[in-house]
Amino acid sequence: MKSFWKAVSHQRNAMFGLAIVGVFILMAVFAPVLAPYNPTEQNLEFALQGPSAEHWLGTDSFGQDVYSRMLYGARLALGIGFASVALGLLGGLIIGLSAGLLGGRVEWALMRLVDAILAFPEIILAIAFVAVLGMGTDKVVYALAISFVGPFARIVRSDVLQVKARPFIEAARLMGVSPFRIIVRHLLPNVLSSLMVQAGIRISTAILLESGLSFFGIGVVPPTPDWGLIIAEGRGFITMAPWISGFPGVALALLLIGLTLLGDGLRDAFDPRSGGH
Amino acid sequence: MMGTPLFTVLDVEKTYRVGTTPGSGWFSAGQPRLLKALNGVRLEIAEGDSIALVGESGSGKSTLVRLMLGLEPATDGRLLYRQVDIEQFDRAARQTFRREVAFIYQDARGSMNPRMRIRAILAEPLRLYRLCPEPEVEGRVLALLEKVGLAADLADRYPSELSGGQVRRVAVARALAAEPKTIVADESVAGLDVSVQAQLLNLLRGLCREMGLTLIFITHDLGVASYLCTRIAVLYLGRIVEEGATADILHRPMHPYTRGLMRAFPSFGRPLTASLKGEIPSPIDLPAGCRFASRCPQAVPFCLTSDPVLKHPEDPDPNGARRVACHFPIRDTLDL
Amino acid sequence: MLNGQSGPLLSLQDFTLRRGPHAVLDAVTLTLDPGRTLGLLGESGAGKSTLAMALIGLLRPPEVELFGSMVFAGTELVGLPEAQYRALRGNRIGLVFQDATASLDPCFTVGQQICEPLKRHLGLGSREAAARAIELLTQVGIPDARSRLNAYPHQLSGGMQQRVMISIALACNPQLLIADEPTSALDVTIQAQIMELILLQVRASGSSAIFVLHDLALAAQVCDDIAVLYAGQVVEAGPATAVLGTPKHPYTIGLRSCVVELDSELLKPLVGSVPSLNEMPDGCHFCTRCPHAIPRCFKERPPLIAYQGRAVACWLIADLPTSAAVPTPAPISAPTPVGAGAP
Repeated sequence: MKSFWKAVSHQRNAMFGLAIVGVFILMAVFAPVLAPYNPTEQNLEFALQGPSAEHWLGTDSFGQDVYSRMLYGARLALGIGFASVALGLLGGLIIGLSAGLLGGRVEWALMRLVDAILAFPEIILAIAFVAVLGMGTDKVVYALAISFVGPFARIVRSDVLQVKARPFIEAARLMGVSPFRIIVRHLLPNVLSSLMVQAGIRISTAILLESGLSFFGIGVVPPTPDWGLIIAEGRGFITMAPWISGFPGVALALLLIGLTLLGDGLRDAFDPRSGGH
Repeated sequence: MMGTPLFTVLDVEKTYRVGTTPGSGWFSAGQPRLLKALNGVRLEIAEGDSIALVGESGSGKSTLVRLMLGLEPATDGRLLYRQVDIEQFDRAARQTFRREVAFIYQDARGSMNPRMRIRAILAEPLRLYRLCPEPEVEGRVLALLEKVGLAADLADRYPSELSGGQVRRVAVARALAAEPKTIVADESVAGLDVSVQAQLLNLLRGLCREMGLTLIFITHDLGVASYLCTRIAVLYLGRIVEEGATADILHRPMHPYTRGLMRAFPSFGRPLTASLKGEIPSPIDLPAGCRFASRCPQAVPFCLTSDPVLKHPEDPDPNGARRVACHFPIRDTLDL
Repeated sequence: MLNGQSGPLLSLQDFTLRRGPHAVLDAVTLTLDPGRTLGLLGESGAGKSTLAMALIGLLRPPEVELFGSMVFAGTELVGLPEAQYRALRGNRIGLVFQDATASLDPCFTVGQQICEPLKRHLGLGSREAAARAIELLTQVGIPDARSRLNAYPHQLSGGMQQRVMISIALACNPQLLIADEPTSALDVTIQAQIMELILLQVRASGSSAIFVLHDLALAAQVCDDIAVLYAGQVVEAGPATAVLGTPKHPYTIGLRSCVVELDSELLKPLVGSVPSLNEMPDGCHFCTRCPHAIPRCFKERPPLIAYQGRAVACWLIADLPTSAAVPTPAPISAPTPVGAGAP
């Protein structure tokens, strides 16, 4: 952990990104405290009002407070982002480990499966899974997670193969360490470090995808305060009430920039593939 | 050679397939090309022996050791440990074998988990074999570091933070941790500065003598072999070509390859001698007959057709441990 | 190749190389006469490879700062413009490196790589260059040279690749050959062949050679003169028979007693290790490990003075009345636990 901090703190981009992401995380965590209104509370007589003292960022067509919806939207974005990546990572780990460690026909079969998944663009896959699973926040998470399993499985497998070939694994074998312990104590720690960086980079993809799905109306269900959904809702009022789409749009863009900077910085600091630590 | 036999290598062969020769047409596959890394090796190592396996590239010395350690199966022949075939070990026997035989890699740093501190690396065998209760592990780790001449504060470091010499010492310490009976080392002193090499050699020699360990040392350096070991086996292209007591071999090498090797070895007070011409042949597609014939200064046509067997020369020396694989072993002492 | 000038072919005078705040090479003074071979000996961090790189201009400002003087056949190399260096390299100074596999370009055939310096420096046409290339390959002992011209480096064995490197280095008949560990990556029987070849070529053409080596015994066999470096300083230099046969500097003595020979009874290793650049003492760099160090050694750098047929940089010798002998070091006992700086 200490060396993690040391490596990251040297990267200016990463620190900048961390600052931005940090702000959003705080927004997400403290949304209930910070939001002056319930995000789904409708107040039709105050609909489509511009930014004012009572509604800092204005109201939308249902009279809902844009500021509160934006805060809760951060929660949703980050929540879905982390959750889907975590699940996808878990699935990818299972498949990649099995493929890398078992080899032979199992590896062949699993990797062909992964190839099939990877043949489709992520957005198409996500749409397909939402079509099967239905709409809603949790369904979006599952859909995204499944489409992430492919890339993660591939990375895990190649990392496993690389680490497996290193002398210290064989040395552990020669020492009489049990295969299970070799995997847990020697293999996994060396695989996970670069994997974590890849996972971090994927979060911004996840957030973009889920916002996209919601924007097209096939993601979360209204009136859930999702940025993509809010932007879509504000589309019809773009000339009259630009603040509805505008502020969440800016927020989304900022968060993605922050995540990308952070991800790049982490990758430069850590990923052995790109010549880091 | 006294003591109970520990390792017995019986006519071991190891062949690898390396691709195929081009086929003759579109539909006929070529023949598989075979790399004979080991070609009929017979060796016995007893408890307390210190033997050096000496050879150049392609000699098969590393492959032989890998087979003896059970990392790969032999293509033919048998490998015994304490008279039991290692392929037939049950779980308990395998555990005992792993504990009693410790291996030190040539790439010492690579043989350690880069994410583990030295303390954890040394503690692993201790915990694995439950050699002491948990509270004592730390003390043992420090004792091991001291034994190989390293300071206690190295325990907190990672392998990447240590110098080449330090990391090799840690490798020795780890090998000793499980209280083995045998140490097998692969070129453990190659590529080191001479003073570091000297320190490591003294350490190894001292430890083996003090603890009565059996030592199997792979090296290409005859000087190192003679410093550490009382027996030498010279390998060439997958066969032992000469074997015997160190003093004996150095004083009176009988195989032309051994003599060539000794002459080529740089030494003070002796001019440079490239006694052996030609390249080392590839272990793929070995010639029939004596594998050394293509470079042998005393080869005759007979040598090209008949592969010599490793056996005692006609007038054996008193302790009978000498073997040579040559039709015309040389009897005179070597004047260097 | 006699260049008609008397005096040394290469002369270094107080040559210093600084990288940042550290002096990687510290006031190195050496000479090399035409037709002689010089061995640069030392362990890791001694600076021998650095010196070789600086000699051929591969280490130059702005990465490093150079002070002092390096004169090659009348030309001052310190501050020489790159364009002029390029005219020297491969032409009047030939280079052989340790790892032929890394030094030969895998995309070009052997023939193309040998012909390149011939065409560029000697201005030979394609046909003449090819003929000379065949001649060179045969000279270095590559059988069937004509067909080898079209071979790629990876198709040759390690020993063959090294021979090709040597032929490239010798293509233009250089006055000086610099070889950095030319045989370390090779098997010992091949090593002997390659070194013999290099020596033969060098002697036959009358050129000089500098060998960077870590193997003392090999250096004794191959070099006329030896310069022993320790942490960037020359500690002893002179004819090989003197320096390695009867070493006078405590470091050389220590090194000599570390070398494993066929009849070594007990090796007496030097204690400790080379100090890091940050911890380098001001005076003689070896003082931290020297069994005979006196306070003066830590503060003042001993000059290189002539003594019994070679040059030594040691206060013990500088301060001696000329008739006294150097005390031989006491036997060093078995390694005791050493500090964190131990190798």
